[in-house]
Amino acid sequence: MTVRRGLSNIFEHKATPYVIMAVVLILLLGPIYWTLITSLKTLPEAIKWPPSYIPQDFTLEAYKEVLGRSPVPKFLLNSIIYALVTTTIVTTAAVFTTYALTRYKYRGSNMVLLSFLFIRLIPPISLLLPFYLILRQLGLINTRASVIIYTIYLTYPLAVWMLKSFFDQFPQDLIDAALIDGASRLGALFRVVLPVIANGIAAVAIIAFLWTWIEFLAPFLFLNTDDLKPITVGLYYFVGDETTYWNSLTAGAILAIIPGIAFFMFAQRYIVSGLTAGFGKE
Amino acid sequence: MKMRNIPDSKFGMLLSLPGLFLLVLWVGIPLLILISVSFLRFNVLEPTQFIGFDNYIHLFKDRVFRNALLRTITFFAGSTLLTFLLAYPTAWSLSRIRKGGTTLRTLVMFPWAVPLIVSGFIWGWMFNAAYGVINHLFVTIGLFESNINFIGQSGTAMLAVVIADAWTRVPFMTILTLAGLEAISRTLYESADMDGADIFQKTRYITLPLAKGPILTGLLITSVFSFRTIDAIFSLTKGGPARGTYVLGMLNLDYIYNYIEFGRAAAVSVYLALICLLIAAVYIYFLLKE
Repeated sequence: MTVRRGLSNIFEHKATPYVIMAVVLILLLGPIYWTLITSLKTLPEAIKWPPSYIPQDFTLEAYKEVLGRSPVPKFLLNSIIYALVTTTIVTTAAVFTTYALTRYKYRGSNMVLLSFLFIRLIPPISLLLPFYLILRQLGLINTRASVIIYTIYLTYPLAVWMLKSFFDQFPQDLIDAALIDGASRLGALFRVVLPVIANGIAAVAIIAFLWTWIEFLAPFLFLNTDDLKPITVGLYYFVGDETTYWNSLTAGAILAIIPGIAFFMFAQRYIVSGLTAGFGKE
Repeated sequence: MKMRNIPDSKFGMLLSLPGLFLLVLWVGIPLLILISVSFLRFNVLEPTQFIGFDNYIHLFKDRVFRNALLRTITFFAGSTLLTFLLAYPTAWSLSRIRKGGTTLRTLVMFPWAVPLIVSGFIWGWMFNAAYGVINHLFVTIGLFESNINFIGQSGTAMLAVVIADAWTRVPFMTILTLAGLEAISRTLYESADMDGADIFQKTRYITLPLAKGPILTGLLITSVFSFRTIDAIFSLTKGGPARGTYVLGMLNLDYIYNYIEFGRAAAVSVYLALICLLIAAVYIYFLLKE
């Protein structure tokens, strides 16, 4: 009993959360640190034993190689194209769908909303085959459209479900007042609802962007020319049969991580609100 | 203005029509095709033919499939457990930290931004037998005598892929748990303190029961996601060594990409989807039980 008391006092101590966080941050950020410093080493130093914990020959050589003499800039551009196009289509479509389904209910509209949730339970990997067969039939294999068609499927139900909670929270009185003032129903959406839930929409857009950005299997399966590959697939450029260019691979990995990290640094609060809104409520 | 004459319910239907269209075209049709193909012998060598449940029966009897199923369960259960074991203390600590809390929350989210395929590369590099930093750390502190080839043995390779997967899932689990913890009223803890309760009692009788909803939701999402996602395995071990990390998703990919046996692939996909729904059903049962 005294041991238990003692342990309890340790956990209750003011400093304990900070100690735990220090350990957690080493575990969570250590791998990113290790990737970053490997990318700042020369290849001989990267594969030196024992490894150096701080680069001795600090160099941007790997980044020059990756950005100057490899197809990585093209891969990054492709990733940006896929993510931006998907985000634009999905966010726009989801705003109208969700506005209709939450504010102008009709027979079966709740069923539709629930089916968006249900769809999220179907593993995307299970639909990889039918998408592949359809795209092959349509002659779309190895086109940008193939990836975007798939990532729309991936992000759209998620976007609707996240937006739903933002629309649900919006007071109906404000919409009614706008309608009485003579606004049309779409006018009310644009002039009254959207400005207020803009943060929520930004969160949904960011999450759709990142969700597309990290997708690997679909572009891996649908594309076979370097010109079209996103960065997730393109990283295999540095994985050889004999040698892996660890400093270049880690430099590419850092470039693939940067957009996500940047979004979290500038919009962490919105993303978190979007994520918890999309999952935490139901 | 004709638009104004449309009644609200019709308006709702019209406005959600493009969304419905997307739903049917993007999910309904692929699902139908998937289920139809699973009843076919459909490959490059033989003529395509209806064979009923043969694909399902074949897989059920196939040792490769059954082993992959077991590995999948080990993988997702391990990943979910590890995610929770890291996320709960993190969320608990964050809920008590006032100073610098925002910065800490941002830093904790970083692994979420790492694509799983990249996570596999990163951990593969850190677990590397010849140059890996983890080997160096463990040898330096004397835990191992010499370097271990983590990726080269099936037991440790499974551990490695679980770590690479869980690492990116901790942030999401943390924010959901944190949302649950912060919704609990402080006064409950204060009155428990006055009754002389220790932290274990408070966790058991206040924190866990009251934060059950968000924690279960987080576990549901983590389980379902790690059950169906193979990216980290793909870049870290490719299912090896000796199929030690070969999960159902890898089998599915092999049937599509390497064996070009679409009928079998479809049956694997349907099994995957059914098990995923089963896992979700178990959680939802516990969520709704209250």
